[in-house]
Amino acid sequence: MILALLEHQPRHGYEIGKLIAERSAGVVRFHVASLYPLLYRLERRGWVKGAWEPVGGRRRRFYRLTASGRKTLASQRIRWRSFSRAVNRIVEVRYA
Amino acid sequence: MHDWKELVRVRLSPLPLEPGRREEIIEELALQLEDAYSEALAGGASEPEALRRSLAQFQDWEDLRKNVFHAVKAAELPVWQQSGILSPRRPWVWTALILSLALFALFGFRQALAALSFPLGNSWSERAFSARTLDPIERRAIVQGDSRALAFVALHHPDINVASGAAEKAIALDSRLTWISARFAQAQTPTLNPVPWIARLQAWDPDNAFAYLLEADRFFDSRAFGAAWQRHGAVLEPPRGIVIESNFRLPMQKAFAALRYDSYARQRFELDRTVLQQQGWDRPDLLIQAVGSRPIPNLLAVRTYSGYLITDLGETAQKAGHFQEAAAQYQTAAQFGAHMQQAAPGIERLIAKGIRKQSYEHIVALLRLQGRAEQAALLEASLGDLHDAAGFMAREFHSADVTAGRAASLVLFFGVLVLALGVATLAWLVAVLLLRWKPNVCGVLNQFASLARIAPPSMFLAGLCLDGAYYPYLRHINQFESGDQLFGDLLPFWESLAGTSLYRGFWLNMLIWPTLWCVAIAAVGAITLRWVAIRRQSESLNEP
Repeated sequence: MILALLEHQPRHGYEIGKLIAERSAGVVRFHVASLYPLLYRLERRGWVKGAWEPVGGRRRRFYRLTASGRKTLASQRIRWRSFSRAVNRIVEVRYA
Repeated sequence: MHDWKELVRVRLSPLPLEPGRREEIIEELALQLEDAYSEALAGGASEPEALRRSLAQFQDWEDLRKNVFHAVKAAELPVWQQSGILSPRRPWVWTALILSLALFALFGFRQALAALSFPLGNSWSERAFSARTLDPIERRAIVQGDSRALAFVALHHPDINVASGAAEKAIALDSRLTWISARFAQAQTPTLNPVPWIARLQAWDPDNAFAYLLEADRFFDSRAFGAAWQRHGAVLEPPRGIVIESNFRLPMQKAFAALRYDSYARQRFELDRTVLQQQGWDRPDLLIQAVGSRPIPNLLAVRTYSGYLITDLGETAQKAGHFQEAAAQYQTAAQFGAHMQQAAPGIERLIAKGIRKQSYEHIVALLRLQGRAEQAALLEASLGDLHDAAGFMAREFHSADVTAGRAASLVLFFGVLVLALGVATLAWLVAVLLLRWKPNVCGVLNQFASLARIAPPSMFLAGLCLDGAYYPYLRHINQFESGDQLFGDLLPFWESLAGTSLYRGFWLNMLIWPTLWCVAIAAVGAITLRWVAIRRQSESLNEP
């Protein structure tokens, strides 16, 4: 999810947390305490890169997707689509 | 205005990362708090409420600290930087360790741990009566002229020739110890002739039936079910044919005519207890082993001969109308039974009761046959204690066995747990001290120290449970007055403990190879998984 949120533009931690809550309409609840360790893990794996940038008179750490992260996102998306299709085929079967 | 960075720094401290990276993380988390705080204020919340909502985002700072470190370094937080409840920085972990060590100061705890040598291979007990242990005792005893220690060596040395040498010396120092000759009366080795030992015992204690029984045993053991039975089987039921053999019959006659019966159980108990105490082995299980190895005459031979007297001689005489002769045979058997019952412990007493019961039943029947009903009734009334002797003992032992069996299982369980946790605690201690000295010595060591932090307090708790489970059976050997008391109090427990041999009977025989195989497979699997993870990680890092 985080990789997808960073696909088109860099974002900072607070924004990522808010976006997950907003876009899932509260269905996915992401604890902030888990968000930052996850971002650091993604950064260690080289899938995202964090950098400090000035915003409104103070600096913020923005995360952007790396080439490796983009490739990972693509492969995870394919996996997720095939998985969700499979689940849909199962749960949306109509019996005559 | 809140100092959010200071607030985060204090709560995340210590975070053992490079200073620059640490400050970045602190700043980023401080911004998260500040943004949430501002948003809450903008939403109309009061200042305290906004602060509460902001801080509620990170409820477990210790957990966050560990997760942040793990995310950045791909490793556990150094064990000395952890501040969880089981961290080595907490004094109570060291208190638990000290208390665990203090358990060793408890006599009961040490005795309970030593008790595990019973189900875990009996090795300690075997060592206690080994040549390696007994030879120095013998040498010291010779120098000091300690006849009792020499007698102890004579009774327990695994080499019968060394034992007989020690016996000679002990008897030379103190002839009252001649009873130890009984050990050699049952020797079945070509290097030692038991006959002189039996003769010596008979000469020293001529009124005692015991030495004559030992003499008779030598023939009973080898011939009762062999040639004698085949030759005389047509006349007498096996193994009673052996009584035709004068080598068996004559010493048996002397035994049954003897004035008393003494298998030297009391002397042996006192000697074993004294020497074990002198040697610092205050262990009831060793005393049980020592006392339990005393020679017992062949009770089947005793029953065979008493049966011969009562059934073959007595009943035959009775049927022939020779009442006086029949009564004499019954009386001889009854008297021997009385001597044996009076002096012998355990199973010998039970057999003696059986002989007396059988004899008196025949005497009662004979008295009735002679028309002496009143005397018969009086005699019958006085035999109450002989009835149901076997049933009484069986019931007693059964109820004791059930309780003792449960206690033995608990002692074994907690004992094994204490041993396992003791090893883990020791390894944890070494790892923690090493990491204190060199924090970055090894990541795996740090991971182990983090995982094994549960060991010291668990060991203390397991130790307490072991002590509690063993407590009802905790005894000093000087608390016992006799072998009967020792066996009555503790034998069911120790027998259960030896019988509950998870290690020797089940684990070692059946599970050792499957377990080693599983461990090997698990190790190969873990290494492979680790290798795959490292490879995937390096591949993803190397991607453009």
